[in-house]
Amino acid sequence: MKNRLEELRKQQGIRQEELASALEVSRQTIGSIENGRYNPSILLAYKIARYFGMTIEEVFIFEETKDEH
Amino acid sequence: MNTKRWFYGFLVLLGIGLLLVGVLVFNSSETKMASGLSFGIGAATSGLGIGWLIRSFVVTSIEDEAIRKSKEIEINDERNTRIRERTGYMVARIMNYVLCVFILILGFMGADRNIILMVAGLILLEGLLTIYFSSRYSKTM
Repeated sequence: MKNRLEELRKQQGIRQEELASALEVSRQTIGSIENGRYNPSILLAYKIARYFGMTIEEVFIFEETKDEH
Repeated sequence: MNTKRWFYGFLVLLGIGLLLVGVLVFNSSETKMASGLSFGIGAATSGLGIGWLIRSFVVTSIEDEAIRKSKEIEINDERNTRIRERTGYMVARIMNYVLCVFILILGFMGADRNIILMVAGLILLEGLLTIYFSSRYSKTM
């Protein structure tokens, strides 16, 4: 699943550490989500979307053809 | 913070006391095991006490709170939780194969039947635990 997290974070001039602290997750988790290595839980996805004042669909892009784990 | 420091100081003294008991009281050949035990526990207790005591002077209470929160985040972090779960699953799977191979090796070596049965019991226990926890989690998820 692709996402716009890095783009949105940079637009607002927030560091990974700051975002991680606000969402109460580790900085590595934010990095992994941005790189597409890790797909967050629905709860974290919701928290991220709410942090940027958007819906989940606006932040995360679901690709049906790709094999998801 | 002061109560903690007193406790760490107590641990240091307790450890030193146990070390001295290990050296001075249990010094005959009959009490060699008690001496070793006393010495070991004493060394560990005093070591921990000294470490925590130093840490309590170096790290301020504000820093302590920040470290505690950061640790809490690391532990509850969902990615770390998933990593732990996957690691546990892979280790259990690999250990299952390792134990099977181990039984075969023991059999070829002509090991005592009781030892082979004990190792086979471990595989059985692993299977029973898998059934128990699968059933438990399937009811809660």
